[in-house]
Amino acid sequence: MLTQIKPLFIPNSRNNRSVITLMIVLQVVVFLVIWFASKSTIFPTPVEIIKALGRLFEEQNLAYELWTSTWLCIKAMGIAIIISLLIAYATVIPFFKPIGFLISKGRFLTLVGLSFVFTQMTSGSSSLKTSLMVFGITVFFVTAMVSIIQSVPKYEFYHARTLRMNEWQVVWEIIVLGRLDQVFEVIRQTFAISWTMLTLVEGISRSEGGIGPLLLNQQKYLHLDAVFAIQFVILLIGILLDWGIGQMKEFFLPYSSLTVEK
Amino acid sequence: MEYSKNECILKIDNVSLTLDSKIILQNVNAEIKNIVRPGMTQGQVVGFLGPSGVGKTKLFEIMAGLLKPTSGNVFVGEAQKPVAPGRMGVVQQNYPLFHHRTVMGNLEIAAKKTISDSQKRKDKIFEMLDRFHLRQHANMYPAQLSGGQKQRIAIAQQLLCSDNFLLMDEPFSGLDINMVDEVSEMICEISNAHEHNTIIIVSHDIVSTAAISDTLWIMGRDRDAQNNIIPGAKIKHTFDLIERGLAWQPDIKKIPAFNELINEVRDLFLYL
Ligand SMILES: Nc1ncnc2c1ncn2[C@@H]1O[C@H](COP(=O)(O)OP(=O)(O)OP(=O)(O)O)[C@@H](O)[C@H]1O
Ligand SMILES: [Mg+2]
Repeated sequence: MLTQIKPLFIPNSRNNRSVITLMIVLQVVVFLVIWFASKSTIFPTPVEIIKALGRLFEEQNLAYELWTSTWLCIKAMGIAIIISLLIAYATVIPFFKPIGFLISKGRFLTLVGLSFVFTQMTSGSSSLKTSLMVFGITVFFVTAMVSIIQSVPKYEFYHARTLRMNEWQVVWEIIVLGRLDQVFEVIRQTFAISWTMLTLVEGISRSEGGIGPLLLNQQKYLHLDAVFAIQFVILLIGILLDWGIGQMKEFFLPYSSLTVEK
Repeated sequence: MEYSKNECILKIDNVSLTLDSKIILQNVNAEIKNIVRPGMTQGQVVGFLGPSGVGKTKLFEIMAGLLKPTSGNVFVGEAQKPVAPGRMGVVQQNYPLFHHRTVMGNLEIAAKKTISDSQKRKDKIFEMLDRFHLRQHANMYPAQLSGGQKQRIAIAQQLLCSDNFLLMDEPFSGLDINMVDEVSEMICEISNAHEHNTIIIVSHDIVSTAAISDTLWIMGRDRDAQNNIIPGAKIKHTFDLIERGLAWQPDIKKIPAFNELINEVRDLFLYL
């Protein structure tokens, strides 16, 4: 038994499945025990949270609000992916390099500060929220993609050139096709960022509802159990979508997981 | 042994290279002539040796047309045209392949440039796969292959899309003794497949390289009176192994003259 437990504390060691499962179960149990036992006034108990969850579904139409928010996020993600990839790929052309550089610096701007400008430029709450989200995602997406493109080693370019490819074909083969697996990774990362931006953006423009205003309302009336319940649901859907993106990567790019140490 | 050295098929003409105001290469000159032996097809194999960091890989990149020299030129073929990327096959030190394509896909994309008929292309690719014992790996990705297998695919890829020249950077590194023999055999086979086929091997393995070469180039730098290195490498010594009767010998490692040659080269290395 001890010989099986020891590797759990050694860096980079491999462990068999049942040991890992047991370890995770134990950790969760310990966590739950501490949670139940604690008499904290800040943290509601699991039972309270589950009850609040039921109330939210029945009285506050949680399912619909969730759908509104998720759809906003997915729509913004889709648009941002297209815009970001175009900008990032364009940076292989020197003329477009400054644009990519400039856009990646947009990460340091706050969305709240930009909301006025965006309100002037868009019509209606829906397009305001979408464009705020698209902006917020794009600045991170472009940053990550540009850094990936910049770090392509010289020998890969040489390799493609020795195979008589012209520079457009080199870009297509090395930068576009050769880095698709990393695009999926960036999608995953920026999706997580966009998911956390969601409630903020929905808070800026509340007229269409969504999970953000719901959360803010519950917080205003100090319904802590409901706040935790909503957080829990957001967490769960986030993890689910993240897993979905990972599955898509496996499916479309079967080679991407071959080099990973399992 | 009857042979003649005919027309020049590769000429390195006064090549110099400066990187970040650091002189790497200074007036490098060398040429390779077509070796002709009556009654047979004889290609050329040049072993290119030199201490680590001297500039072998840089010259190699210049010969392949991948890196522009600060001055000078490289001319290839009977017509002696300036080299352009793609004319020379290049197998780099770490055998890069397209990781997002299968073995088949990697060969396919190389063959597309030279063979437009899709049926002919398929035949040629399968011929390559058989020749390099890779058919059962055709649908695998590079990440699923061993170093030696990757190297063979990288070679096959270059053979599908270059004319006559193959530059190999460290083809023996990381291979076991059997594999070194196998790769050596493969190099001889490729070089003798066409009269103009020419393989240049950059290596630190003096014995394995000298055993299959007809010519050795030794790159080095000069030293001043205080024995300090003067920057700017060139090809300082050229060994004609045919003249010495040390080329194309099957059991060459057993010939005493070969061991003398190896020692001679080793001694040179002390002062490069
Ligand atoms: N981008 C660069 N800028 C400046 N100097 C460089 C650059 N790249 C390489 N060098 C220098 O050029 C010299 C020659 O490098 P090169 O890779 O050709 O050596 P090499 O003979 O192939 O060595 P090895 O046998 O270890 O592979 C080295 O001293 C290296 O420090
Ligand atoms: Mg080198």
